Amino acid sequence: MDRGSVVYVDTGNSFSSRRIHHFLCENGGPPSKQDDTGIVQRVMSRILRHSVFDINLLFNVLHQLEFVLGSQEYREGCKVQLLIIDSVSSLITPVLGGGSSQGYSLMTSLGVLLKKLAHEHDIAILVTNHMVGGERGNPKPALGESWKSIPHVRLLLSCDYETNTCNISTLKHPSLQAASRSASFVIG
Amino acid sequence: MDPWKLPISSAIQRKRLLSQSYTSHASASPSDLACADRASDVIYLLLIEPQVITSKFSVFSFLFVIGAQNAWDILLEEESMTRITTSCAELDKILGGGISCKEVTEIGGVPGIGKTQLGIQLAVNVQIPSYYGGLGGKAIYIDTEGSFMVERVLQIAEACTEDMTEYGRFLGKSIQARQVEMGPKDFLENIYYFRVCSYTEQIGLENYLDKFISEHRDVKIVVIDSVAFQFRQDFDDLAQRTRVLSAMALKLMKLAKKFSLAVVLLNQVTTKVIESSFQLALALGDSWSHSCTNRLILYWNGEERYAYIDKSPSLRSASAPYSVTSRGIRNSSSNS
Repeated sequence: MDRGSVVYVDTGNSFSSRRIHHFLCENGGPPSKQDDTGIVQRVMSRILRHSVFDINLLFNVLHQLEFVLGSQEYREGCKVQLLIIDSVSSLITPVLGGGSSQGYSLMTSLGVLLKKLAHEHDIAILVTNHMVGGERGNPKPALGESWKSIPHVRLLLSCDYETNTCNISTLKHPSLQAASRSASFVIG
Repeated sequence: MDPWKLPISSAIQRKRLLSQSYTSHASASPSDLACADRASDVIYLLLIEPQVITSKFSVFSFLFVIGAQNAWDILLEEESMTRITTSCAELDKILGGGISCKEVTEIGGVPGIGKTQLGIQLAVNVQIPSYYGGLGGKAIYIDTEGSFMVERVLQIAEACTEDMTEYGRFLGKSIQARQVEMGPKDFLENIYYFRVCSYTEQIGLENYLDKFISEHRDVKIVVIDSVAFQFRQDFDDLAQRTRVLSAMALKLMKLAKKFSLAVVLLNQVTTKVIESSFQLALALGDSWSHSCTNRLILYWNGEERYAYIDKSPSLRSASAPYSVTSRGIRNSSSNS
């Protein structure tokens, strides 16, 4: 049991196990008939989905995770290697603004907790943010200036509907040079 | 070490342990611990009896977070879930069988394209009994615009009953023997109708839905027609509107997941000006457009009505034609 696990925090009921099954199986038939070696089942059993619809519940989940990861016996068991939060902006937008600074403090403490989890327990953390309309119609990330300093790497995804290709570019990276790098890909 | 002998400071906590039926440490099996739906209970046990629990810890640690489910179990569950048919075969095909439960689907389009018709058709189709391949549930219809016409619902329900009888006849007498005939009036009785006239009423209703659905567990679809109407007027502070809408979206997501029902939001369109050119976009802004699980856009293509899947985590982007007839939503006439 030395393979990694993935924890997926889903805020929009978007976790699609069928899609994961498509990625793993080339022909994508019904799961019960497919799997001779059991490898697909083993891989999918390591991806854990938790639905969270409230920022306080997210803190709850992260603290539970911190507790479990920090305990002695965990180290002998299965290791969490990736934490995905999809998406963090839908949890923070309802509490942000409105005259009080509670939303900002929640956002900053969430960021600090995520950085701590990543650093202390060697986990890669991926959070998704939304692009919304900004000034003059240019899109900008929903979580703005205060969130910018929290992620170590920021990536921007965009899609060209005519050619059906997507583009990913780096907005911020600790080791790359100032000029942003980009790459194109397609979603099959 | 029995729970009543543990050095617990408070009698209430001891009682809680006993109420969870942990009468001895041996009975707290890993699967019980893993299924305990209150984190406080399990973590409490961990704190007071670490040497006992750690021997069974390996299974618990595999879940990491209480309430999590692994992808394989979710896949098996999804395979057995029934979807709500739209009565149009082409549309059902691109949707993978129909509207799925546990998800929030947004349907947007220009006025007159058939959004309300589709909403009413889904509210009727969710009631199709399970022996005809439906969900056999009830519907909640929240009307913000006043476009719900009972006569039209009766017409669609009558057409649905006729289709069901014909299907029953096709399958043979064995089905008719054990079922109770559903008449059009039964369909109307199973739709809970709410009329809201302001955004405060709409928000209040959404907060009340949790309690209502806990008391009416057979509700399987909530249709809101339309979600944008009350928010497009009287809202001066757009930032507040964004906050209110995102909170509402989260609540609807939670409802869909908690009660395993489908939430269908009908949205209007607005014109967006991008670099001095006009473009049609769904109302309520960019931040709202991220709030649904799936999005279906209805549009005109010449004389035909088409539906396009704009956003979905598992469905391919595709278009399908459909038509609005006196019997409801049906296949496009050019195909049949």
